[in-house]
Amino acid sequence: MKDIAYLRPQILQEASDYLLAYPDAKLLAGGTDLILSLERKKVTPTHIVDLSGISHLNQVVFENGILRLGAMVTIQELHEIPIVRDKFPDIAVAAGHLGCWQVRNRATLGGNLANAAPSAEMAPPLIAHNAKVKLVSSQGERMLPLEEFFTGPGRTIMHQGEVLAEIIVPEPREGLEMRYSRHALRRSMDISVVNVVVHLQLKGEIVIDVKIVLGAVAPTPIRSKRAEEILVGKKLDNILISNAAQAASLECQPITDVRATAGYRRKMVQVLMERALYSFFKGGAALES
Amino acid sequence: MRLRDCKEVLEMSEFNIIGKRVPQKDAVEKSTGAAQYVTDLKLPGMLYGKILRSPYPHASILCIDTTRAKRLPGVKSVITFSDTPQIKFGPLVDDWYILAKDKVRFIGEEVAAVAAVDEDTAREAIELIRVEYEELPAVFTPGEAIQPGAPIINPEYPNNVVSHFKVERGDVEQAFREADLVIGDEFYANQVYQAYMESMACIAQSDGRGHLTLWLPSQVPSKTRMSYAKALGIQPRDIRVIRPHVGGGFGAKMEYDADLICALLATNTGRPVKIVNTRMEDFEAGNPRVPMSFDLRLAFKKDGTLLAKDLKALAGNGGRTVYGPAIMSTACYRIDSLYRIPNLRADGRLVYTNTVPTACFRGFGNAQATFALESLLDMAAHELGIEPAELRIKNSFNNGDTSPHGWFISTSGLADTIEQATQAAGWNDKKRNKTTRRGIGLACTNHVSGNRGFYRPFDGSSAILRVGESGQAVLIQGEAEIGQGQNTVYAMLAAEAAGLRYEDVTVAQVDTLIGPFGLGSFASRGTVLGGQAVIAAGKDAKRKLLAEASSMFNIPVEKLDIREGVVCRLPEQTKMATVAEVASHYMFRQGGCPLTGEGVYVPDTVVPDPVTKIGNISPVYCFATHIAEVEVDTETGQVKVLNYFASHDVGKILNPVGLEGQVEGGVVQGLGWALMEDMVTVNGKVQNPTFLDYRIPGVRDIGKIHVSFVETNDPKGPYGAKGIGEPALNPVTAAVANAIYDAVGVRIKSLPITPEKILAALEHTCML
Amino acid sequence: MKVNIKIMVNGDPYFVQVSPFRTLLDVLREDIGLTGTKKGCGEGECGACTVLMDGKPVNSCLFLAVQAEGKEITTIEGLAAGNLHPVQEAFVAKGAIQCGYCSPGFILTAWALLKTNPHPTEEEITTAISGNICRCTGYQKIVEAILDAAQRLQGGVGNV
Ligand SMILES: Cc1cc2nc3c(=O)[nH]c(=O)nc-3n(C[C@H](O)[C@H](O)[C@H](O)COP(=O)(O)OP(=O)(O)OC[C@H]3O[C@@H](n4cnc5c(N)ncnc54)[C@H](O)[C@@H]3O)c2cc1C
Ligand code: FES
Ligand code: FES
Repeated sequence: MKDIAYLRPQILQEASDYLLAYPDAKLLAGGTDLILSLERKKVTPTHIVDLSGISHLNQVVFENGILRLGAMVTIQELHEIPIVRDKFPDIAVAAGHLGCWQVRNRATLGGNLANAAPSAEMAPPLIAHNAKVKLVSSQGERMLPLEEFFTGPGRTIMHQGEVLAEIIVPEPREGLEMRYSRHALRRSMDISVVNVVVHLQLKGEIVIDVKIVLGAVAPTPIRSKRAEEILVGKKLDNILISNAAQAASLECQPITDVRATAGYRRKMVQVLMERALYSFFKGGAALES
Repeated sequence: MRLRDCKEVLEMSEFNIIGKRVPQKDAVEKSTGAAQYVTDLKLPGMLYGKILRSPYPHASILCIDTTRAKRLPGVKSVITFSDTPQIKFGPLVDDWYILAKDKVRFIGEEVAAVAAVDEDTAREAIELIRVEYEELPAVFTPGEAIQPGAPIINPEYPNNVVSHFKVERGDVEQAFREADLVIGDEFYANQVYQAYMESMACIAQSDGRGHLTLWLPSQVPSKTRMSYAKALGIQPRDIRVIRPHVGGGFGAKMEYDADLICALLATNTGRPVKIVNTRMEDFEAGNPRVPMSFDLRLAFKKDGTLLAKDLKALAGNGGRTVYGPAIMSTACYRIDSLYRIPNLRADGRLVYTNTVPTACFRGFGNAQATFALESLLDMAAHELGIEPAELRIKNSFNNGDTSPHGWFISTSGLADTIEQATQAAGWNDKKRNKTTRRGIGLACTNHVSGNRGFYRPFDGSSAILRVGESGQAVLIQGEAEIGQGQNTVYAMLAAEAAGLRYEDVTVAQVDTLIGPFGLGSFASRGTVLGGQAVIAAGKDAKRKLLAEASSMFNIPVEKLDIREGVVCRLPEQTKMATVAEVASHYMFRQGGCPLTGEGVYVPDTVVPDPVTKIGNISPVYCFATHIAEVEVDTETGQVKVLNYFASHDVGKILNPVGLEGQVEGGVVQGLGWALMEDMVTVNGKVQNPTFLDYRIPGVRDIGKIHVSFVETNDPKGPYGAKGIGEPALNPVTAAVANAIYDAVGVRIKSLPITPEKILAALEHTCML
Repeated sequence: MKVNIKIMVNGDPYFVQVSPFRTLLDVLREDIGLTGTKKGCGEGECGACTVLMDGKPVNSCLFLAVQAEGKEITTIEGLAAGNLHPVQEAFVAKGAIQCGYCSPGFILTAWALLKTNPHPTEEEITTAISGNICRCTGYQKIVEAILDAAQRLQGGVGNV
């Protein structure tokens, strides 16, 4: 551990070169996951490649209806940036729930995604927004939907030598409403037991578009396609809401861990789904209070 | 503060400083980061120690190979059992060795240790030690451990029962036969962790001639020397303990094995050695609360009169004994001074398990028992159709009562605290006008202020107040401030009693080389026992100051008084001199020896008889009533504490800021225990040894806490005061459980009351 | 493989040689000797180690010292020279300090909040300090102290 080497490249290619040259190197962003893993010896890299020297990685650009987020943008920035709060409110809200102020000031978006925890706060809203990720290496770069990025707990589709450089989020269509909700056992400073993101558009009482993403209830963040199918094209009413919520809770594959049992997680998916859906529901029954 | 005129001062209240809102004496240095804790200290040439702990819950040690660790550059000492004095010892039961002999009994038990030039090297060396274990069958719960054929953890206790406490008064069987209502149930108070912010730490230094100095964040600096001396095969006088600032203790920071390892490493290397637990080590090998299950039955008359209580308790000791036996007995009968119950029976067993040793945590067994009793009382109130507050008032102990165990309750503010808390909470209103999913619950508690017999040779306290030539005073005593504000109250009491200005009194850090033998911080004893000694020292100093002034001015002592640092003549209250002038006069007349007041307090308490258990363990007894107001989310099971009301019989308010702080802090710890805290252990391994997964309440997890006080002016308390530390936590779990029942009709009898338990219970009631 | 770095702490430059794995917390406490910053967990979960990095609160235990190059670090020792800072005054006056082990972290977090938000609501205060654990006080007096500090910083007397 004492012999670990520290590298601070100035450009992305250089970072990628290091990763290729030293198979046991680790990228360092905000360090809020990595330093803990080092401390607990879950990882024992030979080299640490610090991304903080690569200046453009912390840029936020909104142009032509596209939001480009550099991988090194911090979670607190995401929570505060007006354009994110304004056009992508669920992303801003999710960011505000991650850890605490001190952690958010260091934690980066790229780190949160690359770390690939099933409970990663930022993944569900970004998947719901059809975000794409840009992966860069000295061999070239590729773009793919964030939805395909995660392959398991702590595992992603990234190859040796690739760096997550940018997250690209298209502006949501006019009329789309977004809800982020989470259930954790403490009101702050807690890892989610369940995350639910619902994007939904109504025309009158009919659901014309919907996307549902769940976090912390499967090896990776997942879409609940069953629930989406149940909802789309239908009139949003009590029965539909209950059916969709139930479908989502059946579709997820939660585990039991020290935070919650699988059964409880399933139930919470149902409850959060119902609450989210009721919040779009304008006619009929009142919002569950 | 300017020196006030005598007259002005004397015309004020009876007290100058007592009762005022006084911030902590050392808050300024704590706010700037200047306050030094053991973890902050660094001595020249200091080495860093690390402990190799057992990864197995129960295993024989076949061999230990330290050669590679010893060869690592920077390593100065590597020790195993054979390098220790090999003496069995322990605070209550001699079942400790400094390092494991031939077997380990819990994950985290100390097997070997190293000292090296820095922490990284020490850590590396630890990883180079090879230990060959042979796993033994292990047992993790008290219930399993008492089964015939269970693995034996300590061969001296072949049935795994470390202590068995029994007590009986009156005729329990008959009372149950004749009762109108018999109600009983099982309750479980789980294992929780104190979570003080400064983890266990020690610095040890040896002078090479057999004398050790230990810097410890200890609650019991003088007392630890006794068992440490035994463990090391030396005399207590060879151990000096210095206690710098302490980052919280809550019961945990008593005897701790790592201190002795540190001492051995320091002796071996001739250099100072520091050992600080990582937070994970602290979780896995600290001193968490004794978990207890209860089988409790109560008998009542129709009118609510309590006739009998029958308690069976089973508690987990962990792999070796810290204070479990005393905690077990406390759970069995301390609570019997809360309500008048003529017929009592308790039968409690403390059992070895292959888990972390359990120990003291605010409430000391009484907190566990209070959860059971106050929950069951609520259930009984429903059965009897009697208002829960009424039921308690009806049975409460009053001034001058003696409990069946001989405990003399000089004053009891129990009924008054019920009155005050229910008023503050709007209890009657809220009970009548129920809102769905909101509920309100009440629980009471009693506690001691001191515990006679905890340390066999004596109980009591003493203090020395030295007044220097500029009127500045230093209070020297052996009790241990651990963050609770005790030194602030001591300075107030000393100033009040001696007639000094509060700001002129400094309280010295505890140093056993210099100060008197103080038993320390446990049993909520600091204010009462230590406080009485401080008052006595203050009065003695005042007497000497007056005598000196009398000879200086040729005025009879009776015609003089001292207030706020000024000596004045009575009755016209003319200022004669400052304390500084009188004290320097004394000092210069005495060859430089400062004026010194000595104070001794020996309470008239009685050690419980070992057979009959009759005694009177505390000079005063405290009482409190708590009311929780909660809202339950019936879909997620989550509980939100909306408001919390705590009313305490504190005897006399010495420092409202300190009292409120103790109550607010105790309540929040209690809320954590009630709703979220749990050391989840699987096969003896703690599954959540981090603050992320061992959830203690954060600022957003608590409701508004409303604190109020009842003054009973106990003739035996310092200016009438009683203790506060532990009663602040005791009733919280039951108040919350009762409120949840009121809110949604489910009764959770095992702590913590998690959302999952509530949901399961709600589903169960739906199905009925 | 040690690295030579220069870090600015409380306006003073420090030149230290560190292993890349060494946290800022350890460098502050062990190498530089500023022990006001406390270690409660070493894992980002208690806030005792909070320092300000370019004015923002961060956990120095989750921060490699090498990452601090070129940044301005403020520790509790750098909050005020000589006299107490109004936030410190408020913490003392309101009884927000018991054992004190959490206090430097709370005070710095509170100060960082009040700099950008001089009139925080209770909600904003609790959001800001939710990464700081206090086991002694029950938080109530800490929140009161921060409200009081806001007043003191406004030039108000602060109701002591
Ligand atoms: C107290 C505490 C509370 C927390 N609470 C939450 C929470 O509520 N919700 C939540 O989701 N998370 C939480 N976290 C986890 C963590 O803060 C986040 O996952 C954070 O966003 C990680 O970002 P980072 O910049 O710190 O990543 P790092 O620790 O720097 O890196 C994480 C991993 O990603 C890799 N990596 C980083 N950047 C890149 C990149 N650009 N390309 C490729 N690989 C990269 C690293 O090599 C490493 O393996 C918490 C952490 C702590 C300490
Ligand atoms: S020590 Fe850094 S957050 Fe606890
Ligand atoms: S004052 Fe002790 S932890 Fe906050």
